[in-house]
Amino acid sequence: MANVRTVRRRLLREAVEENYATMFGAPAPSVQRRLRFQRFRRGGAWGAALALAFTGTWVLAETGVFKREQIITERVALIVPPPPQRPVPRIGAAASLDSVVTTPMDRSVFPYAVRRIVIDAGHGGHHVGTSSPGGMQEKEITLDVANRLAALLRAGGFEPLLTRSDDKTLTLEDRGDLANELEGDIFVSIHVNWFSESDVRAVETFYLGPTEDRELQRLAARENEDPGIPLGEYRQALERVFADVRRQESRQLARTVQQELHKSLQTVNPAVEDRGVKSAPFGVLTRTRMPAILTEVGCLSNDQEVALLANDEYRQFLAEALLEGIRSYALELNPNLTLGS
Amino acid sequence: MADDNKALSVGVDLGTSRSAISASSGARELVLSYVGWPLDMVARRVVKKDCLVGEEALENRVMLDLHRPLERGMIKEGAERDSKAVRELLSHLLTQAGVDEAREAGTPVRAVVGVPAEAMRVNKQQLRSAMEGLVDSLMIVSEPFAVAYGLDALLHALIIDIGAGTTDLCVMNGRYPRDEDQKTLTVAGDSIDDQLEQLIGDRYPEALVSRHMVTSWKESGSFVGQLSGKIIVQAPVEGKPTKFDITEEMRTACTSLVPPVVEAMNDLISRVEPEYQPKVRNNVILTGGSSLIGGLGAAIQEALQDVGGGKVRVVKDPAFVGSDGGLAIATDAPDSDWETLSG
Repeated sequence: MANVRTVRRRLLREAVEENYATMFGAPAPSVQRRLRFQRFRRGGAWGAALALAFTGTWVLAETGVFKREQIITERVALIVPPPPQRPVPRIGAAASLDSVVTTPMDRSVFPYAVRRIVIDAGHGGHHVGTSSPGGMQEKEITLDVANRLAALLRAGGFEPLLTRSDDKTLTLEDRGDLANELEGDIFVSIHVNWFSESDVRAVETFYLGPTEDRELQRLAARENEDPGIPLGEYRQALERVFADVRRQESRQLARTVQQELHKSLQTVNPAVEDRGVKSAPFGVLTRTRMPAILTEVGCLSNDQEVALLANDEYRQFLAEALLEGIRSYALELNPNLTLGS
Repeated sequence: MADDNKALSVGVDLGTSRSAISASSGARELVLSYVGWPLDMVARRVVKKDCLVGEEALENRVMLDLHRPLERGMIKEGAERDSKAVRELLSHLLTQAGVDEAREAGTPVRAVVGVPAEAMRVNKQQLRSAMEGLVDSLMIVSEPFAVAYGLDALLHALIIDIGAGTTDLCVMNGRYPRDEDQKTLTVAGDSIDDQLEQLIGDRYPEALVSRHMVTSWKESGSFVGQLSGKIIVQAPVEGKPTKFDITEEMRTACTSLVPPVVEAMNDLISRVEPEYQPKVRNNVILTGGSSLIGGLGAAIQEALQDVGGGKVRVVKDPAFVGSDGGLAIATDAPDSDWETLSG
C-alpha cells in the first residue's frame, strides 16, 4: 500500500514537472536541483557516451548495429569521414548533449543528390481541410497544385512521387509511411491556410521541430534521471544526432522554398505577406525520415486570395514557384547535380 | 492529499468525439466535442447565440462554422479557430460543472485536463494557452495516464484508449509515461466511419447516406467476430426510405481496427523488461468510446495468445473513466503542486 502511494506521488510530481516545463520552458526548480546533482554525478559517464556518439558512428554503421541509419546512409550516399577530431565533452551531460546536437553539421559531408521528391497534397477525401465561404476546398487546391508541381518536376529532371493523385482520404501516418516506403529524398506537403483576420494574405513554410529544442532538453533531463547508461540510450543519443541532421536540412529546405515562393508570388500578388519559416510539430512531418516541410501557399480566409486560388494560371504559378524553391535547394546542396540524367 | 477543502477539483477528458467532466462537487457532464459559430447574421438570429457547443452545435450545423477542435487527436495545424473551439468547449464543460458559480464565490478551481497523447505531444502549449484564465490552476496530462491513474493501473498495465480520432496505447511502468512508453494510431472510431461509409457507398450506391447516419449506425451496431443477427438500417433512395443489410460492411470496417492495435500493443509489450511482460499481458485495459465495439476486447485477447496469452479488461464506463482519473489526480496533488501550476 505504501508502495502504491509512493508510485502515485512520484507520478504526480513528474506530471507537475512536465507541466511546469511547458509553462516556463524549464524544469521545475526541484527538478533543476536534482539534475544539477545528477549531472555532477554522471558527467563522466555521459562524456563517454557522447564521445561514442561521435567517434562510434562509423563503427556502428559498419557493424550494422544501427540499421535504420545504415539505410539512410545508403540512400543518401553518405560519405562517412574518419572519426572527427573534436574535443570530447568532459562534464555536464545535458549541456554537452545540447552543444553536440545543435552544432550545425558541415553540409559538405552529405553531398547527396535530391532527385526523388515526395509531394503531399494536403487533406483529401473526407478531410476537406479549410474552405472558403463560397465553398472552395483546400483539398482540391492542394491536389491541383501538387499535380502541376509533379509535372513540372518531371520535366525538370526530378522524380516526383505523389502521396495522392486523386481525391482520397489518407491519414497523416499513411502519408509519412508512403514517403518512407518510396524512399523520397525530400518531402513537401502542400497546404492552404486560414486566418481569423480576413485581411491577412500570407505564405509561410514549416519544418518539424520545437522552437527551442525543448525535445533535446527533455531528452537530456530524461537520460540523466535514470541510473546507469544502457546501450539503448547510446542508441537514442545517436538517433538524435541523425534526427538533428534531418531537421537542419528540413529547415534549409523550408527557407529556400519559402524564399522562392514569396519572391515569385510577389510579382503577381504584391500584397502577399512573407510570414517566413517556422518550426512546428506538424503530425505529417513527424513520421518522415527525410527532410520534410509543410508549405502554406495561400489562404482561403481572404476574398482576394480565394479569387487568385480559383484561377488556373495562379495555381500554375504557385507550382512553378515551388519548383524553383526545390530546384534551388537541390542545387545549393549539390552544385554538381545534373538534372535530367 | 490536498487538504484545502475550499478548492473545487475537476477532471476533464477532452476527446475528439466527446468530452467529459467530473467535479469534486459530484457533478458529471458529457458533451459532444463540437463547437460552432453562426455563419452569418441570419444564422445568428436563428440560433440566438454567439457560439454553440455539443449536441446543440451538431443539430444546428447547417447554420454554423462547425469545428471538432481535436480532429485526429490534435488541434488542426495552423487553425486558430480550433484553438478557440477548445477554449469554448472547455468553458462550456466547466460551466456545466458549476465552476463559474464556484469562482464567483471565491473558490479556487483546480483542473486536470486529459487530452489525446498526440495532442499532449504536439499541441501542449496551444492547449495551455487556450485554457488560460478559465481555472485557477491547470495540469494537462495525457489521456491514457489519467485513465491509468483513475483505475489504479500504474504498474505493469497497458492502457488502450480507442477514441474517435486516435487510439492511444500506453504502458504503465510505475513512472510518468515517456514517448517510448506510448503509441498513437490514427486508426480509431473516425477511420472506422470512413471505411464503413466507403463500403456502404460501394455496395449501395443508390442510397443517400450522410456521415452522421454512418456514425450513429456504428455506435449502435458495431462489432467484430460473429454476430447472431443482421444489421439492417434505413436510408432514402430517391426520397423513399429503404432498408439495407450492412452486417458485413460493419464487420469489415470494425475488424480493420484489430491488426494495427494488436501490432502496436505487441510492440509496446516487447519493450517491457522480459520478466514483467506476462504481468502486462494480463493487465491490458481497453477504454475509450470505441472500446464499446462488440467483441473487440475478445479479439485483442485472442491475439495475445500468439505472444503467450493474456487478459483484456474492457472498462465499463468509458465515457467518464478519463475525467474521473483526472479528478483523482486533481484531488491527490498536494497544494504545493497546485501553487506551482497556478497563474
